Amino acid sequence: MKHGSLEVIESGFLTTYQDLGRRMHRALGLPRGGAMDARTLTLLNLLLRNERGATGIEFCQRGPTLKFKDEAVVSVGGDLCPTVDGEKRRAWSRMMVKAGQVLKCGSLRSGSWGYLCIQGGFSVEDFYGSTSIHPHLELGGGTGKPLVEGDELFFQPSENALSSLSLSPDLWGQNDDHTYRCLSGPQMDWFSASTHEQFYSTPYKISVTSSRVGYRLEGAPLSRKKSFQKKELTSEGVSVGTVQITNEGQPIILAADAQSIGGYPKLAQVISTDLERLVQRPAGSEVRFQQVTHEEALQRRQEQEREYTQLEMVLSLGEEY
Amino acid sequence: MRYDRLGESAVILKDEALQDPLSVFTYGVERLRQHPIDGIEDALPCYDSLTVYYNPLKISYESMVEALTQVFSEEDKRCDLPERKRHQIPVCYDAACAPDLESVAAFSGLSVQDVISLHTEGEYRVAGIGFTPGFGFLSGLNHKLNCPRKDRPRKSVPVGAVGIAGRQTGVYPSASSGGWNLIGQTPVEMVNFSLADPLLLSVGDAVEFYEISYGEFTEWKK
Repeated sequence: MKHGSLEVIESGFLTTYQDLGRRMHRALGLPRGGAMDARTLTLLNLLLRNERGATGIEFCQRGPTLKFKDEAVVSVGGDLCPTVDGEKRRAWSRMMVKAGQVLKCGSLRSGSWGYLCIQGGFSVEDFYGSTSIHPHLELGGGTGKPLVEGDELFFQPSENALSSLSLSPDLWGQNDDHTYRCLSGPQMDWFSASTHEQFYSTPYKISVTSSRVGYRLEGAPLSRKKSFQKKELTSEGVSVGTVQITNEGQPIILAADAQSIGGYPKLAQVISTDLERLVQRPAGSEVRFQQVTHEEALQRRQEQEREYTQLEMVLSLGEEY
Repeated sequence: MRYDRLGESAVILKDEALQDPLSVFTYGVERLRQHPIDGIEDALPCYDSLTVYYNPLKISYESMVEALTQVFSEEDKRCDLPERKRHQIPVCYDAACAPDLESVAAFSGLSVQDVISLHTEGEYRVAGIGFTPGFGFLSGLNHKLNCPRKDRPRKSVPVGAVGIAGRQTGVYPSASSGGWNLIGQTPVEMVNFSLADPLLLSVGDAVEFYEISYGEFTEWKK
């Protein structure tokens, strides 16, 4: 089937292709990549009855304006007021855009990362298991660089007609107590009980230097035990959500485009369901952490999985009537 | 074998009793590649550790540890590894290519020539690939060249810059940020994603450096 296309009229900010990231190839030194807020991307894809990881577009604060050459059904999320040919539409809804019409995503009223998904997903050449663009490496899907004015984007049009439907914005879970659950990290014994207490009871502020690579936090220094002051950690694997502590005692939370190997001690690990919320907080916001057990972390993950599966089922049933 | 959990979907393996953990772990990675375990997604050897990444919705932590224990049973530790590549990497140690060579020499109490000799005499092994695509962490640096990483990392290092920090040496494959001390530069391409085999180095490979002149360096780059 011929691809549909659309043109970028205005690029927005840090607008990149994102899917759910790559699961392999860390041995090449490639980052996991994928949407910072995988939950929003997944919900929008489910709404459009796409594969959960169908390639969408992510942007930071300011979304793109796109002129559609071919008809398509799209949806955008989070807190946006999109328009089609100037007419107001709703975020979290299936929006039919006709050939020749212009979709303006607009700017997020809250949150840091916004998403646009298209029925059928964007057609982008896979780069070692993902279509994700890693802006700091200039590698990944398409040119490896964020989208710019004039770019032509392609998508696979679908034969399946979709009824008009929208998700409640509450589904995303805007009610955020600003506390994020963590598991203990492998180097937790480098830090004293009082340092642990400090990490799990005092607020930290998200620094403006935060990015897709990592979120730097500022706050009361987290110092090591005396016997570990001069210790150097031999580089070893890290993970998205890993909380590293710098030599100045400041936390860095590794995000989607983080490197695969690190040499800073790892105090904790933010659980994936909570990291997706944390990264939506703007620079200057305060975050707090709460320690949980592995059982609790797994339960939370399984809960989210059930939620996705149920939504999938409800939406597929909806189409049969 | 010690298993340290790294969050919900990864675990770091270490075994202090192993004489050659890098060989054991690269062997294990090869085994996993040939006999994949459903739910285990990736495995990353680095120095004396192996980080295994898995999907907790597909395999439980306990099942995974059981499966990995089998892979690393006594039997397997004694097996031979496939032939690893040997690389001879040309390096220009000229001042134009080596902004930190003098300070490293001063710190070590050695002459610049001694630093170059010690660096080129070394027999190195690729102990891990990470930091940036294609960046190989090399073990085997002569202890006389140990030096701390720079207080303020450079925002951008030249492509092919050769650095040392702590007990490690390596080549920067791209103009990334870098905190290591730059003692030379290679004209050889370390990474090229338009090739079927994009990386020059693989974990376990042997590496040696040899000196080339600035003239040879610029000629090579053409």
